[in-house]
Amino acid sequence: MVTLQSYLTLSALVFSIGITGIIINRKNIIIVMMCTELLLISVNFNFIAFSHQLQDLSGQVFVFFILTVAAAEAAIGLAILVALYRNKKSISVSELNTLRN
Amino acid sequence: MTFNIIGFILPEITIAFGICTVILVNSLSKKASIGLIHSLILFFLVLALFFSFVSLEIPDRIIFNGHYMIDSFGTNLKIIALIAAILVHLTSVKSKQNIKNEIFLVQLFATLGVLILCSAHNLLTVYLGLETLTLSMYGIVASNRSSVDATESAMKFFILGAIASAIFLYGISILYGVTGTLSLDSLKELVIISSLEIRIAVAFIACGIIFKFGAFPFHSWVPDSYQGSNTTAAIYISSVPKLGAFALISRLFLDALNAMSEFWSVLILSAGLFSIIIGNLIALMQINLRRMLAYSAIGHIGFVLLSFSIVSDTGVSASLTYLLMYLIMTIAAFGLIESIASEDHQHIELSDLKGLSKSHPSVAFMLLFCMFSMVGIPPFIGFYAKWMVLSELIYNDWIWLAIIGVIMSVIAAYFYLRVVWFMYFENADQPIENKGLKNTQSITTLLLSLMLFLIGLYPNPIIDYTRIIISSFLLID
Repeated sequence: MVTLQSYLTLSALVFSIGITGIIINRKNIIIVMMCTELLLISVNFNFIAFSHQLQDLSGQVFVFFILTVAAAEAAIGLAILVALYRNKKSISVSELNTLRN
Repeated sequence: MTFNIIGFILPEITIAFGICTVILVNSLSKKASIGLIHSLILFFLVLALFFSFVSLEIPDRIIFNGHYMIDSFGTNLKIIALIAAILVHLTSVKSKQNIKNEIFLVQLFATLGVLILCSAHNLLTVYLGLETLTLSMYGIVASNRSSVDATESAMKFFILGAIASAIFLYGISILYGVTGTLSLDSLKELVIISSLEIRIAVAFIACGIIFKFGAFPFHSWVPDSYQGSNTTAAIYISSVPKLGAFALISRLFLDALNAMSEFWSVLILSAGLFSIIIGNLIALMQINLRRMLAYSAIGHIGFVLLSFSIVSDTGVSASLTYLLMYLIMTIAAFGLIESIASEDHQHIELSDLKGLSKSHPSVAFMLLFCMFSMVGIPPFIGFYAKWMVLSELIYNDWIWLAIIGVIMSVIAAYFYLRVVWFMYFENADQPIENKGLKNTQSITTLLLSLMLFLIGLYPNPIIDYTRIIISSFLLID
């Protein structure tokens, strides 16, 4: 029997991995995008676990909407990334520094 | 019956229909004239404004199984947002080569997101409205896609926005787990005592809201996206989305989580206070005009949040008043900057303003109005905005906060008045040549500058209006 607590722990772990990945990554924007997907996945875990625990469907409905929005967000992010690569010829995080005074 | 329900959301439907029409016209006609697109967009915005005025008559009601709330607070915010969108559209109308029609289309999408946020009455609708707004804002910032700066700032904005919306969602999921409901009405009944879980959820949700406002811990996208994108994009993202954020914070915190007000008011208070300090201090060092205005916007938003955190009828209405006056100031200032930015010279430095009073006396004079208003010099509206917030702070015995606010306003005077100094007391190395204002632009900026002055002389209508909106909202509780 997997308890609610283990689901929540897993979700918190995935969320922390996502945040850490975004913070320590200096090389590749695509990895940053994968980490943002991890963040949303961990929220989905939460919703499904709570939904099962409470025997309430609205949490699972919410998950479908999050998946849709995550797809749209990834599409926009990749479009921006392609435009950025065309202009800079690089997708390194550490080179995103031209906007300074 | 179905027809009746659709009748309640006519403003949103009008904007959605407008989006479809503009996409069709833009793609079907090979050489869609930019004038036709502009007038179509303007037509649909005005039509939506008309329908919002009509729906002011509707008594409060909840539709779509509790997902959507039609009340006078939401409708009034919609009216303000649509008026701001129309003003933004009029000030940014220009047949520039490097600005594509798409940016105006994406602005319509963002306006739709703000309208949904104004009426959302369920955490799911709140999330969807928020994402409609945020995703279109990425597009607006990235619209100048051949520019290195625009794409880079859009990328930074995207990464930060994705983190902020994920944190916001995590908060919502905890709230759902603790209370078992997504409806704001049931949340208000269920969240009574403050437990640790609810505190964590509220803190996470506050992160998302503060990001949308562009206030202190999540402010770093503001200067980058204002500087990197073009001025047309900067006018929009500095004005209309802030109203969406205000609707969000009122619906979620002031209404649904009112029982937790002691906790979230501290969070909002500290965000506001640090925004005022950081925004105004960093703005001192800026040489790029748009970047300077971005930091000054962070400072202004700080005042809005500070006064919101008082959580009283008068405090919140002072906050809305400040927001309205900030909107007028920022649209006017960016509209004037837009008019002096030529196509190949998008990055205006402060030193480019030298001798503006001789080459473009009218633009310089109106920009002088904006700057005086942002400093808070008496006859202009910025003075009343600051005065209302500071008097509310003093009335609630937060004298130290008021003193910090005043000190920061005095420091802010340096960089605002430096703009005036460059315009009036320095001679140009090379004068800005451009074709001057277009017709609609000059009329709109003139109108806004007159508002800066006239509303400053007689501010009562706006102050009364915000009082009515907020007291009607708090009366529902």
